[in-house]
Amino acid sequence: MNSITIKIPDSFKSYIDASIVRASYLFPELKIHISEEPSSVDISGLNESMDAENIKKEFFNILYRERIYSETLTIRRTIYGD
Amino acid sequence: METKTNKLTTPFRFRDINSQTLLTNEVGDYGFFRQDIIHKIFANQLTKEEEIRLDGLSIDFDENKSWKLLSLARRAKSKLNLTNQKLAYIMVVPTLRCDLSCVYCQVSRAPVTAQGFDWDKDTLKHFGKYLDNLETQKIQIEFQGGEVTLRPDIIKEIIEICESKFSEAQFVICTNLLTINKEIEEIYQKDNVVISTSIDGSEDVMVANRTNSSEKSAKFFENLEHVNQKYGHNKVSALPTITEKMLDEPKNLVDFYISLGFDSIFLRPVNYMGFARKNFRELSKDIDRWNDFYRQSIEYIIDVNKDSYFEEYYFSILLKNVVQIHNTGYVDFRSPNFYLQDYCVIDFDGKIYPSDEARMLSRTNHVDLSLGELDGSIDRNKLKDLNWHSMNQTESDCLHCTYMPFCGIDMIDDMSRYNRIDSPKLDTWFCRRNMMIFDLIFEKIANKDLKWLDVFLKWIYRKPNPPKTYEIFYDSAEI
Repeated sequence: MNSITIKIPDSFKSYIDASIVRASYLFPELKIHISEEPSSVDISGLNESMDAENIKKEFFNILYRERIYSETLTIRRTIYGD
Repeated sequence: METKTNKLTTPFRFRDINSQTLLTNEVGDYGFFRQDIIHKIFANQLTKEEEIRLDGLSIDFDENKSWKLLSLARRAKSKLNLTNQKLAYIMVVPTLRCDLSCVYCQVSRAPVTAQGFDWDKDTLKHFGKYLDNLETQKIQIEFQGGEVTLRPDIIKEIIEICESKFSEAQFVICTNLLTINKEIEEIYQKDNVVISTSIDGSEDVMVANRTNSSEKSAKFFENLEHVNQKYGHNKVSALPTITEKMLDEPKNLVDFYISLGFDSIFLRPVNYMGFARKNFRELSKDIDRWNDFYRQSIEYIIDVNKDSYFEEYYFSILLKNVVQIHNTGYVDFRSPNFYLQDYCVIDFDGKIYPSDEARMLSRTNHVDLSLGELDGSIDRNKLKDLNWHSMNQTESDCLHCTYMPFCGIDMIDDMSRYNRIDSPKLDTWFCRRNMMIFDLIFEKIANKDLKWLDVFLKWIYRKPNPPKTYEIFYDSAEI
């Protein structure tokens, strides 16, 4: 297998673009793009040393991070603002 | 977050440590959770105990506890509070000339007979005026070089100027300890003067790295013994610069420092600066090799601590940050690290730099990081530009990192190695070095490894027999 498709829950849809950018820099050997399937991301270019489950986990970690960042941005501004 | 209407969620980060997930909040309170914790937060499936613990970490709490947000804001802002910082530590370079030619010299020193590389009368006059504008009553001066003992007359004048202007003045003489004469002894015997020197290892290592001469290396150790005998072991501190040849023998250097009577060592890699840029180019890129050496050294030092007290300075700084005893003194590892706030460097020509490493990069024409001159004004725009990038709290990679609240930022090192400050942090020497250490610290905390935690407590309390307060590493649910 050298490609996988990851189904993204609807509540994470708005963080997919940002996550693809970050995942592409962390894993430059992979091709990551929005799938033609609804709410999914295609990841290709996996080689034998890459565990598909691990790549999936990494992508979800990035999604989580982007969502945490985005949803706590207002609070961050409150913390550091006047 | 959107999934809950009556909750406030503050910025937090996570990282898998062993079989658990470490969560940190904005200011470094942390806890270990089951690995499904992030999913459960988003799916609104937290257990009561997890809700209580996230509330305790001020990560996720009821809106009616908005005081928690204020408390978090107060703690976060206190780290950024500039009014607490007064310029009170100045590194001065009375001469750039040096009587050694170390293989890794970071400042491109001048030959000992060169002209025009020393402070003159005008520099001293301008320095006095510069001090008059400081708001502090206490000053600490670090004499760097070149080899400062080539100009004991300037050292004496600077000491006199500072003692006349401040209620308290402390001085650090950074020297190669090759020369001790009557004039230098008059300086060393003062109670407010301490000595800092470089010890890379035994005589043969000193010959290879620093002196290029058995006689000079022998003289160094003779002089070290002399000042230790005359002034006591607290007078002299030392630090090594670790080069490629030393990486295969991590125990040797530690054993050597112990044999000299030191209870601390700073395992410091050769900087990618000055002459070291040419001589240690490959080593400077090889972070994995450094991390292997460092981890082996720390494991050995942990063993050494079974029967004695011996600290590794850098590890100790990171560890103390983890337990909220924040480093404010080590300028290559702080965040925010606002330049010219509490520290500056004044070079042999009167130019002012934000740090010694910035001086080095400028000296080698890598990038001009001078911010002004003693008899001129400070370039406020340049300073503002530098300071904008001196906070990991706003750095696009760091702000996602679990270790951000404990970590520092070092744009000077990034500039030196990568010619830019916006390299992906995870690819940088600075980040990978510190990630390894933080991972090690949290692995040991997560595993409740008492052998390591006992040594951690020694270093936190700076005592050979500290109280066994393991609870400082955990929240109440984890003990």
